[in-house]
Amino acid sequence: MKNTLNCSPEHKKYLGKLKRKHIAVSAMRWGLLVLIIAVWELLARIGAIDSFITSCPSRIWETFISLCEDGSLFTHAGVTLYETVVSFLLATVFGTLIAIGLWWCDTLRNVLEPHLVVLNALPKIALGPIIIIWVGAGTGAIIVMALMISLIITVLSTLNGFMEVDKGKLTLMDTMNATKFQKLVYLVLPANVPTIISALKINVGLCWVGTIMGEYLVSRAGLGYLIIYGGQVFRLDLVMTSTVVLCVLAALMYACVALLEKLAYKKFGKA
Amino acid sequence: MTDFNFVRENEKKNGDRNDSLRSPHFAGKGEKAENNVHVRLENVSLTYHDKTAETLALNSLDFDVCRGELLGIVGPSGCGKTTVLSIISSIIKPSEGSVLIDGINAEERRNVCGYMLQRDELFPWLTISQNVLLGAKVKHMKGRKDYAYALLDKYGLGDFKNRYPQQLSGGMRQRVALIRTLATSPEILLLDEPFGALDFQTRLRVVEDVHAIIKSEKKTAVFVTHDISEAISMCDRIVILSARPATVKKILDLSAIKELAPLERRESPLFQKYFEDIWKNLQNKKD
Repeated sequence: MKNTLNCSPEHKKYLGKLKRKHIAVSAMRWGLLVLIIAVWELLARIGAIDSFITSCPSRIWETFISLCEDGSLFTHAGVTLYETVVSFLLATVFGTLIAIGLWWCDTLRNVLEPHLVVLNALPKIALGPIIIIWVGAGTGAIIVMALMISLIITVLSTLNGFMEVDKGKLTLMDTMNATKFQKLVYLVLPANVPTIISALKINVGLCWVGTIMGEYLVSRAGLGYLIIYGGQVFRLDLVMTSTVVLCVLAALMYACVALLEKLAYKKFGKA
Repeated sequence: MTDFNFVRENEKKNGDRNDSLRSPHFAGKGEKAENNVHVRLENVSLTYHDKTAETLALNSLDFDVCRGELLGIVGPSGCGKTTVLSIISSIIKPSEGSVLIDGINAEERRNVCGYMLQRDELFPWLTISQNVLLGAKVKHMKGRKDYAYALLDKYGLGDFKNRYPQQLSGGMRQRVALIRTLATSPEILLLDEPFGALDFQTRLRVVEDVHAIIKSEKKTAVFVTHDISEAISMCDRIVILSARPATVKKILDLSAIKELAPLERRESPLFQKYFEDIWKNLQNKKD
């Protein structure tokens, strides 16, 4: 801002260079994507690759259109999105609540910490069969699966943030005779908004993993179901289309959280 | 930035309050002196426990702080100066002895103490006015807003109410921290090396400001520092503590220069004499 006011020719040159570089990078980004799609399509058209095995962009598009027309794409994407968002919200809310509980009670934290670390290390997909038996094969099992994957890491990272609150600020609260609840509300939670948001960012990815994993194991609908089904009946078009849709949805959800992060950083900054 | 001259003149008008500045130890147990005692430490001892050992940190400290007095505490680093403040404000319970505020057990008078720490500890997500009102909010004190805003205005921070702490200089932040402490109208201010984090230039100025603010608000204050010249430039009396376990080595009366502002005190011929006195007392390990 300051620089544009009294801008020397050298500085203008420098700014121009920066801008050109920026434009070049985004051009190359999109160019790469277009190139991959074009080469893929071309190789399929000239028969260098078997589009029955690899599918190709035009067939993906056709499948996409036909899935849209009969509305089944919206059903499947909707189911997956619902499962992901629900497990994401549950993981965030319960993860933060559990972290608050552990912050509040030292003994509880000391007792549970090793258990949490072991649970975190366990590959949660191994719990799949148990979850199916306990919760039943259905949406519930999928949500629990996604929850298992993201909950523990939320608890651990949020708790870590809580424990690292500036000691001086805690002393300040002590000097004001603040109760533990006041310390939580006025200091610990606001100081950890950035921590919680970065946990959200990790959770978005993990919840997608959990949901798709869950759908692989049990489901009659959803993008994960479409992928598995397409694979079983050798309809690679269906598999690829579902994967692309999944990719777009995950990116959109991540972008939402990133936007939230930007807003939160503006308000809460770094302590 | 602040109106020291105004403050000082006001003080002079109030006349000589020599009585209130004299320690009851020296004034005898006259009734007048007794009434002037605001905070009394009676044989306060503290023992820490950790894995390796138990340590005697404070060894029967016994001194008074008079009403309206600015009492300094100096001592070698790690002797437990901060601990004394924590005990006065009942954050830590003494192992032995007791602290009386207005003759009542300090634990029942917790709310009359206002504590100012070495770092300003302003919350970066709150505006200056929200930061200043934090103590009042925590203590459920209603209607402090006008008073806090008046303090901000009075001490040259009125235009910064809606700014965030990151936008202020170190000296300004320190003044905000003091106003946050004052906003709950504490009778007793406990200052724990409040200028330690500032550079020397800013420090001289803020010492001047803070001294003027404390005197104009007529607070009783206990000021802990490791900086001898800072103690002499601000305090009415100075308690010199020994190395751990801390005992009271000497109480130095500065009433001869008490009318002077901090910077003027530094130029007083007595300054050097007091400095050497304290220095000697801090040096010889045994009496």
